Amino acid sequence: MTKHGLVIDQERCIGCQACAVSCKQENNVPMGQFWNRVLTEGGEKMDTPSGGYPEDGGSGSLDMQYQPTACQHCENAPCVKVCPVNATYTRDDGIVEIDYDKCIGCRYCMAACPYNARVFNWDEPEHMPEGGTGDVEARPQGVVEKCTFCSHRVDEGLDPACVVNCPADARIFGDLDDESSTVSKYIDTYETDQLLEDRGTDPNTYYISGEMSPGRPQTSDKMESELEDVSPWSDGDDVPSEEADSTGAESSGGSHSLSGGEIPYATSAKSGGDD
Amino acid sequence: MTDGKAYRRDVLKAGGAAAALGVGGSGFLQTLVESEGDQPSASGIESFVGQNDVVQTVCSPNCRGKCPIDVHVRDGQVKKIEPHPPEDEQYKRACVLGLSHTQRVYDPTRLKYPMKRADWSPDEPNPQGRGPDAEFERVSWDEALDLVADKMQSLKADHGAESVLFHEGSGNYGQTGKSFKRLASLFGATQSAWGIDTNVGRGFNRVTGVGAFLPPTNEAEDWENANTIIVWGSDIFSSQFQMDASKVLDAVENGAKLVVVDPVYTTTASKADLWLPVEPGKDVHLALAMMHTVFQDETYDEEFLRKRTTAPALIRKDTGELLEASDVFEDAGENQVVAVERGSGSPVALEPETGGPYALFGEFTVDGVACETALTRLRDHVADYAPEDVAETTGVDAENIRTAIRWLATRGPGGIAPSYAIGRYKHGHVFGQAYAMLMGLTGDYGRHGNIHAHHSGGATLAAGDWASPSDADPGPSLTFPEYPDAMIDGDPHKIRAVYSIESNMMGNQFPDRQRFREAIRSLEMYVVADMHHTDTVQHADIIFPVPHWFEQEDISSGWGSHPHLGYRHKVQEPLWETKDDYFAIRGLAERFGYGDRFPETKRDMLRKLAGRDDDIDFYTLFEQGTQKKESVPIVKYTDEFPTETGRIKMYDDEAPSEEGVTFDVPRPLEDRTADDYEKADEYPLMFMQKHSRFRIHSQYEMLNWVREINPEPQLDIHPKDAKARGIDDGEYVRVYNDRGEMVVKAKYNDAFQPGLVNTDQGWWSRDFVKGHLQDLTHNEVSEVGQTMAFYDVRVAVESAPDDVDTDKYGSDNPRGSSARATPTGGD
Amino acid sequence: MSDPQQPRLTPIDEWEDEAEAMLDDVEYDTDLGVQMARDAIRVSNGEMTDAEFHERYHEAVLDEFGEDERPTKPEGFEDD
Repeated sequence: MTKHGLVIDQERCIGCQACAVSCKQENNVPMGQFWNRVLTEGGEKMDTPSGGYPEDGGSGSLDMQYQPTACQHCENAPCVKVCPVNATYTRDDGIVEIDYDKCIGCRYCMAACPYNARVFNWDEPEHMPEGGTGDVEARPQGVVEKCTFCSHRVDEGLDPACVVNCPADARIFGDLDDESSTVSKYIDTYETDQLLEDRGTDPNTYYISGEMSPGRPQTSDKMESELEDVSPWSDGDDVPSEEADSTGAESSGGSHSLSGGEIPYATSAKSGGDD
Repeated sequence: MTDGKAYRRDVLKAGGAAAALGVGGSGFLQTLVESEGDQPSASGIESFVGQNDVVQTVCSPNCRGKCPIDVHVRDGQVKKIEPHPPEDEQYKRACVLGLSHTQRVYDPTRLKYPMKRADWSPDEPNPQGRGPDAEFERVSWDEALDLVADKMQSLKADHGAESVLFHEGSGNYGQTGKSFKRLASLFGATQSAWGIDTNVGRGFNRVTGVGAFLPPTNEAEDWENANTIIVWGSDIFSSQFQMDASKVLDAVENGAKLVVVDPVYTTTASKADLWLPVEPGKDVHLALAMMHTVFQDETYDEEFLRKRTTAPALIRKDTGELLEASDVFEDAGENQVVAVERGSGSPVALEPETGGPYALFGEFTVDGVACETALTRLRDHVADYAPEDVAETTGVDAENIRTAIRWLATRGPGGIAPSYAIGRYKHGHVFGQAYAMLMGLTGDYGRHGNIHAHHSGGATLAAGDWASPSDADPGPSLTFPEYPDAMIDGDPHKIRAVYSIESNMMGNQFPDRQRFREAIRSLEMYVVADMHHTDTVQHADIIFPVPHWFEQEDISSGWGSHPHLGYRHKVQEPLWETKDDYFAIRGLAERFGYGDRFPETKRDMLRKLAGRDDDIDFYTLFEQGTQKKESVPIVKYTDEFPTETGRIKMYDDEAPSEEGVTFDVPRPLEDRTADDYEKADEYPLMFMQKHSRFRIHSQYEMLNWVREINPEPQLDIHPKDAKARGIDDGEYVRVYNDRGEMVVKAKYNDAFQPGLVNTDQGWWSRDFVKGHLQDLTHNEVSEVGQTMAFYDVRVAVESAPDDVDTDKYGSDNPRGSSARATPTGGD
Repeated sequence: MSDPQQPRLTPIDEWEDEAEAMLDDVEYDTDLGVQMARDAIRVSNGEMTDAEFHERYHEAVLDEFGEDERPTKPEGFEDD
């Protein structure tokens, strides 16, 4: 079986909003709506930190991180269970999708979604430019819509738009059922979280936070499974091994353009001002 | 997989039957036929994957992105943008702005027809009619060009060609500017010389012989080899992120230490191992403290200092000049300096790129002249700048200063990556000098993993003397800060007409906006070519409407960005009556009698220019869309430094001075950030205007999608500063000083140092409730830096008066002012 | 509009107000929607089975919508 999933490396994410906008573009999302929002974890407002500015010249307590948030494509999706007309359903490949022809606009799914991932077309959707954008037809007034993992692209062997357009390589898409896929390996190797794990929804979206991953440097817009020459880390080369992790800053070296020895890699400084 | 076309065909299982999009059926044009999956999906929604015509082109603002992109067109309309990997695929890039061109191509702010200000005529220019209330009438291209050519020629006859200024901004990265300059040169007009962001590079240049804007740095592909990166005064992850972000992240992921020096807790600071919250204007103090630490720890790179710097060179104690080899040796070459060999104590003339057992420190007497080494002088100079000594001044913890520089000095190759921000303080050039020397101490030049600036060098097209042909008699040049005096007072000479391309500077992006408006109002003719109805255009007499980048072909350089040139293929024909700048330039040239000096079509011109660069093949570039310029070195500073001695100057005996301070060694000099600045009490807050991720200078201001995320200008202010003034979060505030005012919404932001406030730059006047951020900035530049000091500005802040009309940002219009088409960009 | 920053993920104790607000202007039963949403999370949590969930709301859903096409229907469940 295939189960599509997404890994978002919050250590790499720079909050640039390219995913939010390219989602809107690709999916012809109406004005006033976002399927994919880049939330700031920190202060109350976008791009503000929590904590206080250091008064003593130290590094202080300020903290900020970005959390791109869209439909989490839950394994146990509450939105699917409440839909009286079975408009919201889970595809065989794990993608949670809406049949807009069936949707009656009762919005029960919106109440059930713990992630605020769904939006509703109260009015006749407005698009700029008028003819709309991207590669899917617009949805009508009166229906709920949300992220589809770009199922129309996935069906053609292409990664979702937000993944392809991330300049920080922070988003990695792939098959969670395939142990050798990059998403599976990253979930194995790095500390990952699912949002609101206590609700048991078991999202297929995972967030890396703590140690940074190598990201998604591949340059094609194909899905990993569609690539002829597999991505450089799919044989494990670029995923830091447990040993490498424990010794600190020793570089994996595999991606370096230099032969060994030219660069004297110092061991990591122990102390460091992270007070 | 080396070719974008290949994977695309492969994915979609079908090759392209060429469709006509106004361009030939060349390789760049891919028509994607319908794939098997074009049936409505289970969700009942039709997918258009595979049905678009895709044209590879280049996004072209001055943003250091120079991103090759694919533009998808369906039903005659631009539907989406995707990044297109360039020839060297690791330089794939794009950003929130470049991906949003669908919001720009059809925006109502686009200019459609040539226009003339209704109350302007060549003989009665009615200069006071320029500005917000100006009205325009449609004219034909021929009329517009005739009017401009006749007026320029009559000014030339009456007042000399230099009374006409050709002003070029940076709003269109292509080759057109070279033809603009060619025309200016042939005509003899005054030409513009850059006066923005040239400060730091100037200081760096004094030390190394290179650097104009920022100094060259290793290409981004090498950054992952850095072991320590000190990002200094740059929010690289916010303003420079097109893909350089991923390269810095790769370095971090490889184990590099990331240090950020910034008064603001930026996105970049949030990713740092160590953040030094320096106070504005104190960067040189901090750099000197870092030098102090290197001397104290003795972690300087002795071999590098001996081989590639003047550290061992002797300074005469009597004159302060470097001892010249010709004073010591009969056969010495010119510009050689002298060191002393350890042990023997004998003097030796220093050759470039040559190491030896030279004494780095000490006092010596050579031929009866008492001397000390340059490094001794520098060490003594920084003796007063121990981290503890500067901690209070800089606002940075002493131990953290040490940690940062120890990482750079001891962890292998790395570097300091400043932005232009420090150069936006009046005396910012001193920082350029200071960090160039600091990296000399740590030996961080010419190695893999070195970094010297927050954007890399990139590639440019070498077009020889196209812009200034040998038989021309070019007029003088005028730096940006000199414009108002020249236009208003005739100092150094009177400017009576301006022809402006690729620029929203004079009406929006230049400091002291009211003074620049006055300058514009003293002209007899102001010709502005632009894509949009900007604030600058609203002040014009004659408007040349320029097509969107997707409607002009050009060769885009990857300057400051990546080592490719890109071919900007036309995606669609120019809309309305818009015409490429080259059309107007050639049209004027014909009227002046130089028509034969300009190839008939733009493509001919591009082919001719590309033919002048041996590293580029026009047809390869045209067909591939991008071509990597193999001659661009990935690692910089591997050769002899282009200084008199061939070495980095660790002491400058011919240093310039200003305000009584000589820069033989870096000496802190401040303007409005100085603690004793006279109006510090009256205007207690420093005011900066960050580059944000939501605009490139004033470009992309109109993107509806982006405005949903970033709707209106705000004042970032620390809650403490706000509360002290009784200002609530989200309240409208009046920001003012002795030049002007603006009204914007206060945004409590703990990321900002108390005493420092910010409004992101690039907003147009239509976006402000009142005033404009450039009404607050000033046009005073330092003698040595000659660079506009946008951030060296003080303001006061108070609650906005009750009668201020903030309706444009009322709740019924959540998208901000651009949501409902505002027909003009005037205020 | 869906504010690009707010609302964030909602703490569970504030969720109910939000859900009610979300359903307020809809022509269908607000209380039913809120209750079903709450119990759907219980199903996800494992505190309730699909079958229990289905049975608990079957009548109400039929009344309100005239059909009940939810995928939670247990094997052998009689529609009326």
